[in-house]
Amino acid sequence: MKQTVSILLFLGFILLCGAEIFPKFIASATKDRGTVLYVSSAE
Amino acid sequence: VLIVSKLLKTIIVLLIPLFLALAWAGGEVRKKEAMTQRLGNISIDIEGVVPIDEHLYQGHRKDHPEETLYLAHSSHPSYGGPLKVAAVVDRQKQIQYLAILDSADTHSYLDKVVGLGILDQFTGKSIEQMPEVDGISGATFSSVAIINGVESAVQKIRSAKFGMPVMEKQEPAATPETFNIILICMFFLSALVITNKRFKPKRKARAVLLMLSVITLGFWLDIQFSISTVVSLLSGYWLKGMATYTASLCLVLAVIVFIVTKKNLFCTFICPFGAVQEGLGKITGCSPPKQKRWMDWIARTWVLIVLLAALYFQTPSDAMYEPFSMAFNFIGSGITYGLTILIVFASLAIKRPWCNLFCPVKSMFYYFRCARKIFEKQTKYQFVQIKKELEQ
Repeated sequence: MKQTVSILLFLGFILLCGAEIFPKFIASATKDRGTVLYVSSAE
Repeated sequence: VLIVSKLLKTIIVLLIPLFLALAWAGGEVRKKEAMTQRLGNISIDIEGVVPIDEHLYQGHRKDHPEETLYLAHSSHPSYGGPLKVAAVVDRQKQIQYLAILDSADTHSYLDKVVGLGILDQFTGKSIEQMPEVDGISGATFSSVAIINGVESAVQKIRSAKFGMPVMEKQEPAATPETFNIILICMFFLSALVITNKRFKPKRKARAVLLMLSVITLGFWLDIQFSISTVVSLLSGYWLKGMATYTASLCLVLAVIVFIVTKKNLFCTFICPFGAVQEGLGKITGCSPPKQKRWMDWIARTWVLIVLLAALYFQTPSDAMYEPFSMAFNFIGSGITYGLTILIVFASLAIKRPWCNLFCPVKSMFYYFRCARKIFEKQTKYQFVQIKKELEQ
């Protein structure tokens, strides 16, 4: 029982952490390198 | 099989620094090409950007070559490393655009600062009378770096293009760096004292130290090193300037103490997030998780992939997936919030679930343990060889 909970928890961590960071890395890999992070305009 | 396994481990231990160095070098090349391109991308209304001096550029409005624009960028130390800000000023001395070109800070902190309008307080204003803008509590390092960056970039245009004098600099909010450093050192010193054989009330002292860590390093100061601290250190951002070195110092001390004493004092005696999990586990009296070897290896491979990616893309903040900031400062994404909730509930069923199953610090110390063993064996072998030669 404990082992099943541990494995499920481990998989949950992988899933959540993956969802947190991999979209950022994919965005870094695919976006235009000249992209500006934030812009504020007077207009 | 044992010999092959050991040989394989040695090769992996030796290859990891090489892979990390290659990822970093690739990232450096990639980054250099991007900066001029970013200046031109601040707005589609800007074109013809050409460098006229160091960090100073000139361009004009789209389809209006007579409307000259001056662009300058400046870099200032922030939490994760240098933060680069660009300013665009027109001939009427008005700030037309401000942009954050590059940053190693966690995006949720930058989102907070920019969302509160820190850049908007400058745009549209004349460079003759710059507004006084205060730092934002909860994201002091990022906000102060942005303010300093804007002021420096504007100053470059003021002096070079309009011959205006150096403006009075707004004093940045004082950071209790010395206090933080002393506090971190005190924590490590206390942990060393507790582990001493002569020191008797070990369990009570450890409980007190962990409690103090939760209050001071956790809720009060939010100091804790993460995988992004490792990336910042490996990327050399500490050489380019960082607003705070406390987390980096904490990491360096943890590694040095581990190498010297062979004990992971940080995780056992200091880590505030580990302390919170352990405290919750005490309520139910739960035991550690039952782990399979493949789980350990997946966790280690995961850390290596994240480190390589963050070094290559030069984005330490993107590597951050630990829920420390969410747990103590309530800053982070919805996913981090979900992860924190999961860990809190799991801590009631399993002792230190995050620390035992997925914390990158555990994988990192495993690497150092392997590296130390190889180094020790090598030194021992060399010592025996020298001894033999001397005897002959």
